[in-house]
Amino acid sequence: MILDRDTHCPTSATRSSFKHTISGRAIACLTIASLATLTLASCGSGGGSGASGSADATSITIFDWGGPTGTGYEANNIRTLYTACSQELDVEFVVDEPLDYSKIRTAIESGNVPWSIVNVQNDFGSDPNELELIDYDVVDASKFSDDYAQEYRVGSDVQATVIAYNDDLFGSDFDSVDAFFDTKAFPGKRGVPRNLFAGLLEMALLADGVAPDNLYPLDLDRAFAKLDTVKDDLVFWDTGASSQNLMASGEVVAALVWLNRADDAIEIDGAPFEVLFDKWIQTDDYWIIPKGAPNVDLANKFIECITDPVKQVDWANGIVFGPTTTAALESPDLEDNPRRPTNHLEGKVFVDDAWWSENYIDIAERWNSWMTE
Amino acid sequence: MSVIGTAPTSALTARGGPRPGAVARYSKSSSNTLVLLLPALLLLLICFVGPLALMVTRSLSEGIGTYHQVLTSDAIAKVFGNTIRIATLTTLLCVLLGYPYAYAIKRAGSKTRVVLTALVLMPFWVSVLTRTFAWVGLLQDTGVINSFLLSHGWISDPIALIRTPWGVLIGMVHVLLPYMVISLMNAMSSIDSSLLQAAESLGASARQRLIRVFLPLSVSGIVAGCVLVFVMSLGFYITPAMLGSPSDMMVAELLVQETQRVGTVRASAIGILLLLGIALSYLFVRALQKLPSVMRGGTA
Repeated sequence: MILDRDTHCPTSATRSSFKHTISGRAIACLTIASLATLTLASCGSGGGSGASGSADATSITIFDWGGPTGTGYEANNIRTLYTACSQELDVEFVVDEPLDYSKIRTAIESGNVPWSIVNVQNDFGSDPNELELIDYDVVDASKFSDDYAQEYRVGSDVQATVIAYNDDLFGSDFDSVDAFFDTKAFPGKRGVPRNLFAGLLEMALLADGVAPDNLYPLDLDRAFAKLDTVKDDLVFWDTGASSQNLMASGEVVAALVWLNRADDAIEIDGAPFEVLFDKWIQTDDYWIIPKGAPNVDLANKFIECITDPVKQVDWANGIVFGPTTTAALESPDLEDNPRRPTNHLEGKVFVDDAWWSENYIDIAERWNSWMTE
Repeated sequence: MSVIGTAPTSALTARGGPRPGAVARYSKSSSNTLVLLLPALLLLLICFVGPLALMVTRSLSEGIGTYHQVLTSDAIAKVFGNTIRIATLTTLLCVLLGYPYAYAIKRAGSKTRVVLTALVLMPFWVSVLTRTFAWVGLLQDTGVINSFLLSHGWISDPIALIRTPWGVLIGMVHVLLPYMVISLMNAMSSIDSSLLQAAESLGASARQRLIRVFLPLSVSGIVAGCVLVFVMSLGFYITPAMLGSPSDMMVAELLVQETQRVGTVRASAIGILLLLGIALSYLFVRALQKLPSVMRGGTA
C-alpha cells in the first residue's frame, strides 16, 4: 500500500499509452505492484487479509496466544468456543497465532487489520486509539463478574502470575511471598521472568512489607533494593516454555511463573512443585476489537457468544484458568480445580494496568540497568 | 545506469577474469545485463531499501529527541557495549578455532577433506533454535555435563556454565564457526601451492612458510570470515537469551522488548544505530585490510 502511494504508478489513464511505449518507469511500477501484491499476500496474516475487505460477514478472524501458551490451550479454545460460536452465528472462523503486540500495533497503524477479535493480556488495551468500543447493546455487560466488562475490553479468563515452589524440598513451610525472598531458610535458585511485566516488582514490595492495597505507584527504589538481596540466586526465563523447563529440570527451587506453566510442569512433566496462592498477581486475558477491525458487528456478536457462561464453564474445565462471568463461576458444572485462581480470590493482588503503561519506558530503563549491572 | 552495467565486468577483470571472451561478451550487452539485474535490484529495493527508509522515517517520527533518548540511556549503552564485546570475542574464537581447521582441510587428502567439509556443513541441517536448546540441556546446572561430573564425585557443586558469558560464547561460536571455516576454506583453496614450494626451495622453514607466505595470502578469507561472523553476532537473539545471563543482554533482545512493549519508534532508532555501527565497523575493517598488503610488500 505504502509502495503504491510513494512510487506514483501510472493509473488506468496512462495505462493505454503503455502499449506503445514501454517506459522503464511503467515496468518498474508494474513489477513493484505485482511484487507488493505477492509480498502482501504471503506476509498478510493467515488468510485474514482476505476477510478484511469483505463487508458480508461470512468469516471471522481471531488472533490469540496459540501454541506458546502451553499444552492444550488452542485446542481447548477451538473445541469449546470457536467451533460452537461459528456454528451458532453461521460464520467460518480463522485462527491466527501466536499473539504479538507489535504485530497488532503495526496492523492498526497501517489501517490494515486482519483480525476482528484479539485476545490480549492486561498489559495491552489502555490506549483508546488502538481499540474499538465494545458494543454493550450486543454484549451483555451484566453477566460479567468483577470489572470484566470494560469500555474497550471484555474479560475472557482469569489467569494468574504465581509463585511455584518445590513441594518435596520445602513442603508447607513455603507459605508466603517472604519465603521466595528468603534464600537462607529456603536455599536455591529462583526462576523469574526476564521480560518486564507486572509481577516481580510487586512481589518484591509485598515481601518487603508493603500492603497489597498500597502498591501503586510502585516504589521502584524499594523494589530493586529488595531484588538486590536475592539477585545472585535469580535465574531469568524468557518464554513460558523455558519457565516450565526450569521447574521440570529442577534448575530452580521456586519460580515466579504464569499459572498454566506451573500447572503444566506439575501435571505433564511431573515436577514436584506446588503453587502458592497466598498472594498472586492479577493477570487477566481480555477480548478486544482492534481499531479498524473488519466486521465490528460480528466481532461483538462473537464476543457475546464466546463469553457465554455455559461455554466458559466448558472451556474452563479444559484448562486451569478461571471464567469471568458470575454464572460460570457459580456453576455446579465448573470442575473443582484446586489450582484455579478464581478459587483463591482472597489472595489476588490487583495490578494497575494504567500505571504500568504510563510508566513503562521509565521502569524499563531501571529494569535494564539493573539487569545489566 | 552505465555504472551498474559495467560493474560485473570490472569485477571479473579485477579478479583476473575467466576467459577474455567472456569479459567481452558481458561488456557488449550491458543493457541486457541491466535487464538481468533488474529483478534482483527490485527485490532489494522492495525488501530492503524500502523498509529501511520506512524505519528511518519512523525513528524520526517523534523528532530527533528519540535518538537523544537512546544515546543518553545508560541501559542501552550497556547493552550496546555487551553486544560489541560478545561479538568481538565470538569472532576471535571463531578465527582461532576455524583457521587451524580450514588449514587442515586444505592440507588433507581428498577423502579426509570430504569428511572434514561435511562435518562443517552438518550443523546447518539442524535449526539454531534446536541447537541452542541442546546446549541448554548440556550446560544447565542439572544438565548432562554437570550431572556427569557430580555423579562421579569430581565436583561437589555444579559448575556455572549456562547463564554466564561463557555459555553465550560456546553457543554462538558453535553456530557461527561454519561461516568462518567456509570463508577461510574459500580463500585458502585459491592459494597457489607452488608459492609455498618456492618458499621452501628458498630455504624458508615450515613455520616461516606458514607465517610469512600462507598467512598473508589467506588474509582476505580471515577478513571476510570476521566481517561475516561479527555482523551476524551483532544480531543474535535466541542464543544469548537462552544461554546468557541478563547482564549479558544484547541488542536483539532489547529490540524485542522495545517492539513488544514500548512501540516501534525507539526500536527503529536503536535498529538504525546498530546498522550505522555495523557500517562503521565494516569501513574500519576495509581500512585495516589495506594494512596487510603494505606489510606483505615490505617483507616478501
